[in-house]
Amino acid sequence: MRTRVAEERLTEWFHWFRRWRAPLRKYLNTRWSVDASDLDDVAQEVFLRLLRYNNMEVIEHPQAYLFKMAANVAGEWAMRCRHRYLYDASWLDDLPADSDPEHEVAQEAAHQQLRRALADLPPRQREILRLLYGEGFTRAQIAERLNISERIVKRDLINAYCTLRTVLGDEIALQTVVRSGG
Amino acid sequence: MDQYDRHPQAAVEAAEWVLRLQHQKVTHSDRAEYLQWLRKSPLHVAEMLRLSGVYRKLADFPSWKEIAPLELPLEAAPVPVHAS
Repeated sequence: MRTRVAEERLTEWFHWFRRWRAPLRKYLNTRWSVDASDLDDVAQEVFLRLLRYNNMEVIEHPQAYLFKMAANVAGEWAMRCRHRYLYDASWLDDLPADSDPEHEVAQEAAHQQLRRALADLPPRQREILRLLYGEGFTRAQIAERLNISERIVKRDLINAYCTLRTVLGDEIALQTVVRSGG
Repeated sequence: MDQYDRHPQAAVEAAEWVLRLQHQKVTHSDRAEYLQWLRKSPLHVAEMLRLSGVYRKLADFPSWKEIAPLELPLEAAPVPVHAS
């Protein structure tokens, strides 16, 4: 039985988004005071601009491009808003510092939120997610286990992702509440 | 696509990409196509970012063991559907 198969099989393209999304948001929020409600818009603009670059190079050296681009976008954003703080390059040092108490509190809240969201999913969708992420099954193994076609597994997964995307959508608001409460 | 009709088209497409990219063999043309899709609309980028957040939560969730397994009937199961 493979473990964490979903994790391992990610290609760099998807992995890239996943990996850099959180640090980018953190950077934008803490260093540029980008408002939580604007974070997704700014992050999206950063990724969009990066996509116009020579893409392979960006993928291979994301940090160099990502934060440079983020600084540009955030700078422009700040001009449009009322934040006008400029920062030096020392922010790079504290980027990976993810283990602060606020982060942990927010993470626990996020786990709780996910627990509730999973409980509300149709049972078969929940089971498919459990087998995929919890047990490391492949989609083919899940299909066999549940005695359904792979096509149905795929459809259920897509529906589950789409539902969770909506249900977990208040993540930013939640983390903002936690942060400002500290 | 009526099987996904409750969800926005871009969200469904993003989810399809997640599944596709998670699959064993991702070819160069898959990647090119993915990039093309991302470039087509800011909405696609937004959806992929949003979904990558969902993925991250699922992958980092520490309590999968607490999620009760679905009880399977011995014989081929009629698919359990939401009965409300």
